[in-house]
Amino acid sequence: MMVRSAFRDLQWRRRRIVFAVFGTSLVFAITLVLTGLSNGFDVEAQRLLDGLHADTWAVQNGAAGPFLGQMPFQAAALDGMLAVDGVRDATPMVFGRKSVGRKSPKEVNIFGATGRGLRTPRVDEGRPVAARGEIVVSSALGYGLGDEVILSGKRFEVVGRVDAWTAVAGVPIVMVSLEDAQEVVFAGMPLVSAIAVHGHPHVTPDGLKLIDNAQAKADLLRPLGNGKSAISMVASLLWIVAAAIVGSVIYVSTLERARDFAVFKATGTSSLSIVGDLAVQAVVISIAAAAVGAIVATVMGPKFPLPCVVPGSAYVLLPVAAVLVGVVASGFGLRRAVTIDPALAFGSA
Amino acid sequence: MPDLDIRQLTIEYTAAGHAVRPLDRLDLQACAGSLTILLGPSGCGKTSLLSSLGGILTPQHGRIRFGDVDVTALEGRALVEYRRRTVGIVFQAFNLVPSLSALENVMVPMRAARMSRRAAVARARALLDQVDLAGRAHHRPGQLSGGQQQRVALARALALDPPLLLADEPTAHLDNLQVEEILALLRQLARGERVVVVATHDQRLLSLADQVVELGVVELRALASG
Repeated sequence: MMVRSAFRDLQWRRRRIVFAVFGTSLVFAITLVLTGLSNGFDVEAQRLLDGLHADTWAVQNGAAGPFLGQMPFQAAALDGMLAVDGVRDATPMVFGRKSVGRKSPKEVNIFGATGRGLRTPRVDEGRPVAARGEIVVSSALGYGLGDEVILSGKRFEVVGRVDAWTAVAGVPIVMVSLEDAQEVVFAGMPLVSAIAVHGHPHVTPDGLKLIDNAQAKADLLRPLGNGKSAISMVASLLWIVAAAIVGSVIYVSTLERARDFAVFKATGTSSLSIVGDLAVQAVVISIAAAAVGAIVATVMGPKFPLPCVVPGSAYVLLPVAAVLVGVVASGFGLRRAVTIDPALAFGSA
Repeated sequence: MPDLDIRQLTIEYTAAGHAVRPLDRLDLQACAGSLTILLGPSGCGKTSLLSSLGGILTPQHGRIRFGDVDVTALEGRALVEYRRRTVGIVFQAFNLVPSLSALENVMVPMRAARMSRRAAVARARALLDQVDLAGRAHHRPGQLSGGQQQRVALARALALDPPLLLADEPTAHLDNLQVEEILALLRQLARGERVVVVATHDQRLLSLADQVVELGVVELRALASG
C-alpha cells in the first residue's frame, strides 16, 4: 500500500515533481557530459595513436614521450633504427604546436612525417600530403580543399581533410611533409621529435629509448591531468547537488504529508513502511531524472567544443547511482517522518 | 465480551507555561455493544481521552483495559498491532489522504495489516457499499462532500472490523442532513461486541447514547519557576 501511496502522492504533486525531475536531470546530464569530456581526452589520444599505426616509438633518452614530452634529436638516428633486428619500417616524426591563420590565429598540432610507415588517419576528403607546400587539415579548422593556409608565416595548400581530427583537448591537427615541419617547428634544423617504428626492435640504439603506445598516450594526456582531476571533483560535487535537490523535495513533501503520515501511524502503519514510501519516491524521482539526463547528455555532448565521448558504462552506472542518490536523499525526510506523532491525526483541519 | 475499563486516568501536558490536566483520575466503564458519548467544550480532554484509548497518547497515571488487553502497558510492535486490529478511529477533520481515492483510503489499514490486495479491495468495496458510497470508490477526497468524506473515514475505521471504534467530533464539519446519516451509522455500529466512543459537543447525539460522560473541568496550574 505504501508503494501505491508513494506513487499516488507523486501524481498528486506532479507539477513539483516534474520540476524536481527536470532540475535533477540537468545535473545528471552535466555529470554525464563531464564524464564524457574526461573520457573524451582518452578517446581522442587513442584515436590519434591508432591513426598513426606505429607499434613502438623511439625517443631521445630522458624524453618523457614523442609528443609533449619530446627532446628533439638528429634525424640521422633513423638509419641506426632501421638497422635494428625486428624493425620492419621506421619513419622520423616531428610534432609541434603552432598557429594557423593571420586575422584570428588558431592553435594547431603539427605533424610532419615522410609518409612512409607513419600515416595520417584515413583522409576523408582529398588525398594525403605528397610534396612540400601541401597540408592535410582537420575539418575543425574550417578550410576547404585548395584553400591557402598560413602556418607560422609559411603558405600551404590544403590537399586533404580529416573529420574531427584533434589532439590534446580538442586542438585541431594538421599534417605536412617532414621537411616543412622541421622548417616550421625547428627553424629548418634536421631534428625530429621521435621515430615511429613498425615492428618490435630487439635492441635499442645508443642515445635513444623505446616506448610503447600506452606511454605515448600518457605523454599526450599528461598536461590534461589537472583538468581531468578538476572535472572529477566537479562531477562528485554534482552527485551531491542531485541528492540535495531530490532530498529537499522529499523533505518538503514530508512536512506537507505530516498529517497523512500521522493518520497512517494512527491506523497501524509502521514507521518502516513510511520510510519505504519516502525512499520509493526519492528513487523514482532519481531514476526518472537519470533517464531524462541521459537523453539531454546525448544531445548536449556533441555541441561541446571539446571531444565528449560518454562511455557506455556511465549510462549503465547512472541508474545505479541514481538509486543511491534517491536512497541518500530520502534520508533528508526520514528522521522527520519517523518522529511524526500519530496524535497529530487528531488535530482539526 | 470486550468491555472498556478506565481507572484513575490522569492526563497532563504543558501549554504556555502552565501544566494542563484535562483528565484527572477519570473512571469510566463501557460495555460491549454500547455507544458512549464524551461531552464537553473544547479543551476539556475529550480528544486526549480518545488518543489514550487509541494507544496514541500515554497517560501520566491510571490504567486502560480493553477486554484482556492492558492498553497503557503496550509498547512497540504490540502497540502497533493494537492500533491495527483493535481500534478504528474517525478523526475530526476526516483526515483522508488527499492523493488516494476513497477505495484506497479505506484500504490503508488493511494493507498495513498485510491483507492481500485482492482481499483488501473486496473488503473496501463492501465497506463503501455499506456507507452508501459504492459509486464514489474512485473519487478522491477533494471530489467528495463533507458527509461523503466522513463516511469514507468511517469505512476506513471499520476496515479491520475493530471491536473499539473511536470518533472525534464526527459531526463537526457536516450539515444537518449529513449529521443525521452519520448518527444513524454510529448507532448501528454500536452493537454486538463493538464498543463505540464518540467525543462531541453536539447535543444532538445525546439521545442515541447508552452512556454520556460529561467532561468539563480543566485543572490549570502554573509550573513552578526555577
